[in-house]
Amino acid sequence: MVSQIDKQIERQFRVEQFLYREADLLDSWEWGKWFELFTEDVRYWMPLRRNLQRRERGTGQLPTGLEMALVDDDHAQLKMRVQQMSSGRHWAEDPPSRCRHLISNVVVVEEDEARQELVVRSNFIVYRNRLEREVDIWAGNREDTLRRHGDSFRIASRTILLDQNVVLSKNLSVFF
Amino acid sequence: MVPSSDYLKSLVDIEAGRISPEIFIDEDIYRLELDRVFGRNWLFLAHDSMIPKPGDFFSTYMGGDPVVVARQPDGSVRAFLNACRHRGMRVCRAESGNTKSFFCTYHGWAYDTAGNLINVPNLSDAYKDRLSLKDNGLIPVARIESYKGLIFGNFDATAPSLEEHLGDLKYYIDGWVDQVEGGIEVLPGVVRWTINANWKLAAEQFAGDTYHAPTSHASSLLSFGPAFEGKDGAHVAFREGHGESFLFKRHTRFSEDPLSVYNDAKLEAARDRVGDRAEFVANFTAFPAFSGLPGSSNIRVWHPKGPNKFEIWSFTVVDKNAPPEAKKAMQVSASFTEGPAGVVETDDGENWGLIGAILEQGHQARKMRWNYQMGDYPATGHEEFPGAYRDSFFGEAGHRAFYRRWLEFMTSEEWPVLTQEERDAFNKPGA
Repeated sequence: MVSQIDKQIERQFRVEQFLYREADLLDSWEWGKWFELFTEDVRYWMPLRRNLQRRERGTGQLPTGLEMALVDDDHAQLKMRVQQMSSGRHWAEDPPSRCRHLISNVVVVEEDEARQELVVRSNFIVYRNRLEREVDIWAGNREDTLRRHGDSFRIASRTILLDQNVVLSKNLSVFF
Repeated sequence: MVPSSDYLKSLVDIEAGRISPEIFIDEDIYRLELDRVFGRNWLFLAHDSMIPKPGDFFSTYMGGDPVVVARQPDGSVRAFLNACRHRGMRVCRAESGNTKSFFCTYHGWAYDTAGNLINVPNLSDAYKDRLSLKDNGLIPVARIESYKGLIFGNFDATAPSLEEHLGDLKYYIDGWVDQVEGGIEVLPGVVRWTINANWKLAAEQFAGDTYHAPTSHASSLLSFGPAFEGKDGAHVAFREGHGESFLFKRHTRFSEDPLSVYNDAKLEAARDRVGDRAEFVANFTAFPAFSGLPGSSNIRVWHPKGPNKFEIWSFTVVDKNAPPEAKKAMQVSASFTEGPAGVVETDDGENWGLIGAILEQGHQARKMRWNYQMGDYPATGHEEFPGAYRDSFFGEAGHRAFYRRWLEFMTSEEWPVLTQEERDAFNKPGA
């Protein structure tokens, strides 16, 4: 008989392996295969991180009303970004940046059995080296909704909290 | 050492259309620029909609200096240096909000939203009541003026008015911010990022460099619509140092989205108010560091952070009375195309960053004279559109106007006032 803890270990293992393999696709410049991991109703969202007074901050880190974002894509927009990467004329990524996505602190926050969905948080450090000697290091957190898909998952939403106020790079031309 | 006027004039040859990149990298030129360009010109601070209520404030920069812009109880706007009069510590660390006072967390001095010093800890036992509160208010921005909701500040009390400075560019700004009843508003959240290059590279690009778009943005713009040609638009230079270029007609990006639906629905009313300008897709720079993208709708400020570093601050603009779904669609559209991750702007960052890297290390590269000769033919003029109008979408007349004015500021002890004769001569077709 499989105990509750065994189930959790297996779930954690599957989630982590999924996230690691996803990161590997990005670092291997397999953007087309990476894009296949997203559901058609996906929202791929990177909100701004703002410096506000305590009373105006609220308790959460996410904006609640209409607010500009660094990225706020649906499936069609994300697809256009991926196609741009392969266009051969996207100079910001031609030749492509060398990236390493280090994913850690993976926590399954909740699971909705009926919807076959898990909410998963993870931390990231993305190292980018570009052309001869350009380096960017971005740290942050992601909250994903993973929807079960066979014995793997699809990403039904991704919220990326980049730990910067003013973005300290000339662009964010890579995926997180 | 302060660069001499003769030296500066040797770097910027407007008639020949040749400019030395020293003006984009030299530390002494940069220091002089902070004084003579940023210290004397109208710099964009905020839009009315960002600070509607008394006590609302927005933190920004004028040149290298942090300033706070605050709405007063009487509805007016003041701005002051974001630095305590005691030790120069920042008194406001939030990027925006509402407050009754600004409190220095170093020694506790506090200022009201007008910048007056209102509280000093231990005034009687430390200062023996000998400190003048009146003489120790925050350093005010000398002049605050606004044009159709766009609030500007100027550290120079002797400068001509904002409206005189904007000149004929106002006609084009009107065609953007005054298309419909109620005008525009700025969406919450300023998108900001960092480029290791000189701020003027961005300012000049917005003053009329549509020439870069088909190449730089080949991977994004071509998927939005057909390629454009010179005859599809025009470029205009202004003697005050401004430049604009525009396409006559809007290219709709996503035909069925609520923003396009709204834009189509308002077109007739907008045409009644501003004529052909209702459909312009444009870019402009108002000298020195305020730019706009009418059509794709954002405001830009280029904040210098050193000779080879600047920040882009991008404010997304919508019609104030647009329906919520159109505002949401504008936010989504701007988040997709503009900003550090925008499918269009990622490629601008690549250009500017690589230019900055060459100038940082190069020696021969700094001896170059860059070419600014495009559109170097007499103004063609237009019966309706003011300024020095040239009948091609592509051209660098706006760039040359920008650097002509830049050189005047950099080489003038006094505020370089323009005469109407100078303006007329500049705009004259066939001149």
